Amino acid sequence: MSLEVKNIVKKYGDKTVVDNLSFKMENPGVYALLGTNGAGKTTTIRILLGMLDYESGEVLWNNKRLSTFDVNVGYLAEERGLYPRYTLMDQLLYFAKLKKVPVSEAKKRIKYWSERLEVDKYVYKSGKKSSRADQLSKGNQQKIQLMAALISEPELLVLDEPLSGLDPVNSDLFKEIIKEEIAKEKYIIMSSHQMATIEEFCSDIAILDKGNVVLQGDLNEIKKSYGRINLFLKCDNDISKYIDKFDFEDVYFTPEGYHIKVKNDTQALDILKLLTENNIDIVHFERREPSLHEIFVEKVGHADE
Amino acid sequence: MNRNEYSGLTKVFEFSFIQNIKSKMNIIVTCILCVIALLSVPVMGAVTGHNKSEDGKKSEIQNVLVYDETGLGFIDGLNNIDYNKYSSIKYSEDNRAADEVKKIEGENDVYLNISFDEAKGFSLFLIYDTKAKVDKNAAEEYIRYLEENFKEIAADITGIDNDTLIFLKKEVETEVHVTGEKSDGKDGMMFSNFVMALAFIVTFIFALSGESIATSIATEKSTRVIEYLMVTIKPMALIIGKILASLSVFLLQIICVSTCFGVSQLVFGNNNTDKIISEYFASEMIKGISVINVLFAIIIVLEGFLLFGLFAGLAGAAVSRIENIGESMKIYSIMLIVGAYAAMFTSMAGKEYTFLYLFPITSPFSTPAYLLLGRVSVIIALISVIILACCIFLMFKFVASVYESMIYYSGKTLSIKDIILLAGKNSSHEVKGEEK
Repeated sequence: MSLEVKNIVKKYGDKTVVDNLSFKMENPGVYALLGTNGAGKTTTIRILLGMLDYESGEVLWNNKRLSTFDVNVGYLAEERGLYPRYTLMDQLLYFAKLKKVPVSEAKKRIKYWSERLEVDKYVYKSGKKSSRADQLSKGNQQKIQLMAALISEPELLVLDEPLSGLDPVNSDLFKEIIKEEIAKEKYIIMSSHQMATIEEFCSDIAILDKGNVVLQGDLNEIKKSYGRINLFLKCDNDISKYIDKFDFEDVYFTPEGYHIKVKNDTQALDILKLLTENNIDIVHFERREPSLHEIFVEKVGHADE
Repeated sequence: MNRNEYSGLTKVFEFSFIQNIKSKMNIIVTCILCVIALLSVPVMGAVTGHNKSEDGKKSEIQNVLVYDETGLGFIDGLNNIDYNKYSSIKYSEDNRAADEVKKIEGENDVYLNISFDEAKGFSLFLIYDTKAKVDKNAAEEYIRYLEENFKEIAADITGIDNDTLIFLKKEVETEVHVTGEKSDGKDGMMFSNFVMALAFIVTFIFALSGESIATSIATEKSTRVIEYLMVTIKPMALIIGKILASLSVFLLQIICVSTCFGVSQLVFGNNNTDKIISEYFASEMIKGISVINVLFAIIIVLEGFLLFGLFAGLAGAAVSRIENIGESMKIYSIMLIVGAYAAMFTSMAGKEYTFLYLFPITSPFSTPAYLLLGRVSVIIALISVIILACCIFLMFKFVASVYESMIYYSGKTLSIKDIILLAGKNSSHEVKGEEK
């Protein structure tokens, strides 16, 4: 199986909200769509799901045009929604039916997922009918929506900001479930502002900025291409006079030590050599690749300016 | 997009239907309607005076001018009637033949012609005046009494022997006629009441179902459920499923109310229902009721339901927040008022306004009633059906062109101008797409 997005262009009037976006998932895993608010992530997801028309390009699933009527797709929307006054059971069964899941099978899956997500006491209120959605907290409503996305056991799972608004405990629960879905070799498209989460799950990313793809590819390769430009240095002595001798990209000092952005590998090795030559006691010397957060800010940081 | 426009429609219909049925509002409205239907027969009986307790009251008829063509002296027999209601009636001879009676002077007087024909038997011919206090109902009730008791009256005046018995076994035929200046009078009121009642029922149904459709769509939009639904359902399937569900709920309500009315008739009927119905549906009124007219009337109401359902769907999609639904439903409410008032206006003016029977906003309110009354021809009804069908088709095309954009729109409530602009943009976009 494969998912391929080819040269998608979407405009609202004269404004281009997605400009020539292309990416391909040849293997199961998680593809991340990153970007600031209004970058075009949700529009891209809506296009993938066939909810929006677009000017040009195509979305292919196994080299055929992706249709959510033929391909089993699960979707957790960014803007969560449930019918406030209908019971949870009615809603979940309705969503399952829309996905062509037989009622008996849907009931089994509702039972499984409600227990797994610890909302069974709301879905199956003892002695009473199922709770209504407006009687649930936001976090629990989000769980019900994740159930709706997973109830058809989709081949392709689209998660738009799946962890936003969750407390740490529920966030971990969601992460566990996402990991389980990855283990089941699902194709997952995920959008998130939480870079740590993306780094935890995603192999490939695309960073969108005002409808344009500013960076995309394998996350490890991207990081490698930047080099190990981050240097952390902690010494027992004052090393400011040695630091000043170098023309670093960026330097800032904290009680922990020096956080330095070097221009190239040579600069890092040169300062290490200088410190050892001067018998400076080095407590901590660490070179590392830039984090996704740093890459993201570098690429789209101007959006906040 | 290569997607089935109506895929998922049955599931939307099923879900919306069940949720509508379960809604408190629907349960309350249905219960109220059923209670009204259950109480209708006894209440109508009480209002119209057709219940047992009134049998003892004196009739409005005080004097009967009798022209006895049989020469058997029926006037004596009539004077001997001891049934309380008619016992005080005075009978006097009148020498005018029935066709000579153009006017009856006394306001409580009626004219009675008694004749005999070898082939047909006895005929009782009663005439009352439009200016008299005696109305059609009282006249019919009196003649029915005479018909039922005629053999006793005849026996009273003739004595019982074999020849008389054979004579008495002949059938009795009765007729009621009216004299004086032609006027719509009570019948006209009944026409008017019937039109207004039907217009009220249609308005009530359209208002409730429209509100249900619009609120349902606005809820899905404001709660963002729509986002999830759109993955497997096309917008048009969503709106059509809701309209059909609403229509089915309405049909179910009709069945419930009809059943309750039937039960009421069985329990409280007392054989008075025919009288009540005859009072409310004068014989001239029901002459328009034929299979074809009823069929056209139903089609027009159903088409109206679809058309107004599409309007309500647009009103629901025009808002992003459920609390703004009242604002977007203003135009819908105005259309309902225009339709209902047009029907009332025509019924009260007593004139023919063909335009109102054909105009799609007013026809569902007026045409069915006038069709059932026989005042609108089948041709006009057919044209009305065709115009409504064309409007529904155009409305479908329009809704299909704007609905998807409206569903995803979030912001201030869209005005009619905004929606038309949106349709313009989308159609130019479609043209561009075709050019590619």
